[in-house]
Order: sequence, then C-alpha cells, then structure tokens
Amino acid sequence: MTDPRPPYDFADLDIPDAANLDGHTIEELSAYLDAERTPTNFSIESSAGCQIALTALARLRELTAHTLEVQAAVEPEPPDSWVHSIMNRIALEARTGRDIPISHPAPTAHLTMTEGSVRGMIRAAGDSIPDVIVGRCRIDGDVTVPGEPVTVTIDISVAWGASIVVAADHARRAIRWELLRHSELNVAAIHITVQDVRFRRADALTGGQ
Amino acid sequence: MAMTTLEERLTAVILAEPDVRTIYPTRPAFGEIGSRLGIAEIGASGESPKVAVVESEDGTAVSISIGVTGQRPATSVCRNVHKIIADELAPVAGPRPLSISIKVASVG
Repeated sequence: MTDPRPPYDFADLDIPDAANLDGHTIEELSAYLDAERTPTNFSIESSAGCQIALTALARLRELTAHTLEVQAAVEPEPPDSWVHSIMNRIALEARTGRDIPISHPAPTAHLTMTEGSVRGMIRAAGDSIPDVIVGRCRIDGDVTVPGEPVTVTIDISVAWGASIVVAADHARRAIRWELLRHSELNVAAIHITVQDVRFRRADALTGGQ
Repeated sequence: MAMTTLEERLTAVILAEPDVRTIYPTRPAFGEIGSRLGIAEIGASGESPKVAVVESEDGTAVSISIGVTGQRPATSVCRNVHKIIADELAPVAGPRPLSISIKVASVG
C-alpha cells in the first residue's frame, strides 16, 4: 500500500545531533508538554527554536489524536514510529537556520527572519488543511539573497478517503499564501510529495469502508 | 525616582507593540549552557538581556530577536518595531542610530 522505506528519512541531513534544540531534545519538549509546561522552564520558554517545536508538537498531537496508523499492523515498525519521525523532523526544522532578509530603506536597518521561523510557518500552513499532516519541510536556494528564486519541498500524509490531489493543492495554496503574507521570499515552486496515506480511527474501526 | 536603562525602555516599548509576542534573550547559548549544567530554570526575571544595546562614540547599536503573533505580516511588524526603536533612540543617538538589527525568530 505504501512505500516500505521509512516515511521521513533524515539521513540526508548533515546535522550531527539531530534532536538537539538549544540544549533540549524533542523528548524533553514532549514531556514538558505532557506536564502542561509546568513548572516553567525558562531555558525552553526563552528559546525560539523550542517555541516553534512546542507549537508544532502540540498541533501534531491534536492532529493525530483521532488517527490510527494502520500500516503498523502490517509493517514491522512500532505504531508510533511515524509520529516519532515527524517529531524528529520538527526538532530539526525548528533550528534557527539561515537569515532571510527583510527589506528596509534605512541603511542602518538590518531586518531578518530566521529560516526556522519560516519552516515553522510552512508546517503550520500545511497542517491547517483538513486531512493533511506535514512530515518534512525544506527550503532550497539561497534565501539570504533578496529576490533569489527558492523552492519549498514538503512531504505530507493524507487521511484515507480524502482526495490526495485536492489536499495537496489546498496545502500548496495555504503555504504560498502564508509565505507571500509574511516573507519576501521569491518562491519559484512548492513541491509536495504525498508520502503516506493514513487511516482515521473511525475508518479503521469500520474496516476502511 | 527610579531610573530605567535604555534596554529596559526599549523592552517596554517593543512589547507594547500588540503583534510582538515575545523578545527572546540575546544570548541563547546561555540557556544551552545552563541546560547542560542541569540548571532548568535560569532566573525568574531572565538574567539574559532581551535587548542588546551597544553605545559608542559612533552611535548606538541595538540588536533584538522577536517572536510575532502572525496576525499581521511578520515583515510589517518587524518594520514597525524598527520604527519604534528608532523613535526611542532619537533623543539618545540623534537622528541616525548606528544600527538596528531585528530578527523575527518565530511566527504564530
């Protein structure tokens, strides 16, 4: 039914410590969410990367609360491996990354937004589409040069029964809108790969009928 | 009468911009070091300065990292924060501050 490879392989990334965010791991952040962010951890709360990751993690939990990963029944991976791989992607992509310039006429002004903030925004836009969960996101091209064409590539998972074409199209539109609204990136293309189809819990209970 | 530093004044006026959610500390590595030392909470009042201000004979340089709400375009909020800082610096550094660096580190 699906490609047997791990859905979100991050072996192509040359980051030595894939799960480290300003000294915190995604597991720490997940536990912090479990504890409803109490007691307040000022190190986490004062880290932009951790904040982006916490927002994405909270959204992922909400989106997967009614989802059952039925591939787990026929594939050797444990049921939560798919969610865990997305969690690791969230940690990777919440990193600060490159500085993306924001134009300003004053020569003394140096305005930028971080690549991590833009990736977080892209993920949020994709996740906002019903039936879609963003697996991974990357921005290719020299984002540090104003006007330089860049491409956005995301992998998504779509709920069983939803139109894959429609879901991908809606995700692409939402992402383009957010990028136009919040950044000055010259987005030449948004590539979307539907990496996975997942069953909703209700679908699984009825045998996907 | 209590005196406030330029950093404190800038922090207050920037946070008064409704679409600025937070100002991140200017030394994120501080948190990492604290975490590696097992210090989960680094001061309730946040010892890391939120606005970095360097004053010299050439002028005043300000550097901040902010999180914005996403309600308005991040670029617009960023430019507005620049104006807020420039206006606040005007009596201090004259019409042309040395540099104002603003980084949007999170949206939404």
